[in-house]
Amino acid sequence: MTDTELDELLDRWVVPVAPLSLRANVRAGLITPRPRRRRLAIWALAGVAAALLIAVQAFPQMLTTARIPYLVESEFFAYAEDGSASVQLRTTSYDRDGREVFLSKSFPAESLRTMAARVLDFGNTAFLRPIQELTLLLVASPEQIQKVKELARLADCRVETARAAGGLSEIGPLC
Amino acid sequence: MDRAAFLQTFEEYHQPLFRFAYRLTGSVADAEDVVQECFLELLRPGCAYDPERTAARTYLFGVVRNQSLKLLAKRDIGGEHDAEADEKSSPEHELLTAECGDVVARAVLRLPETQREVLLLAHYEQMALAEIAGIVGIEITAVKSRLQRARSALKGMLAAYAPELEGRK
Repeated sequence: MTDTELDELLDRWVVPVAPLSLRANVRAGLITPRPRRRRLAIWALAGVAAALLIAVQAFPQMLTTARIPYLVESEFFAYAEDGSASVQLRTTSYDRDGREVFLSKSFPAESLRTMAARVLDFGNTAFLRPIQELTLLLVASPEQIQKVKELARLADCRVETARAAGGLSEIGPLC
Repeated sequence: MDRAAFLQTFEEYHQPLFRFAYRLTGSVADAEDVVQECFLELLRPGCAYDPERTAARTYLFGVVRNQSLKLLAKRDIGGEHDAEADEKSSPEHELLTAECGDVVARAVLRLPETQREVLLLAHYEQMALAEIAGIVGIEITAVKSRLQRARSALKGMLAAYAPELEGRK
């Protein structure tokens, strides 16, 4: 067999054209971000959230838009029958229009409860409270807002009364 | 690589790359996967392609070659390649059962990978020996000798078809 004959034979092997799905898949790859990039973005978001959580725990007042003139750190004691006292709860709060707003709570004897309370405090300070305030500003008149604040203040008073009745007493402020 | 340049490169090279991958792997699905992966590789951050150092064609054919060989190696481990059937089938037997194009395909696919890739690039893609050497990563003299061995092996395997070729003339 000569070289020319071999070339002629080889040319008889015809291949199919590339499927249309190839073009579609490559174009889709051009639009869709690569998984590695997506993973990186997720890790970055998780890092920012963790940093925010830590920062808020260290400086709870940083996420609130309200001007805080001073912070109140309180300790709540429980007294046993023999007269000995133990700290049940520590809180950081501030006064807003006569209403006590809690920034953080911790239960010295219960670390799990403290962790849960801090996560809830973070959610409340970072998301719930701004949304509530914004919603109130958008849907309510100034008179209605005043009424809501009054009701909230009354509710706080009831909570304090209930606390006193339950045997917890507040000693503070510490600073 | 920006979007426009990428699309232009795709339009220019996807058919030859698909042909090459198909002839290496013998499967449309595998060839499609290999070519798709090759182009998506270009989009990856930190892609090794440097237009100032390597021509796009050389780089892309190199990627397709490597991916195809990886696939073939996996297939061999998985036992998908039917070596026994290859040994049993002879050109005379195939003459009865298949079209001439299929016989040529089987003969080329029976070549060792090192010879097959060189033959495909030289004959079907009309590449110069130097460019093939760049893609495969060997010396030009080695390319030449592999090509000669591939052609002489094919001449032996396809000898039975020469008379048929004569008859058509």
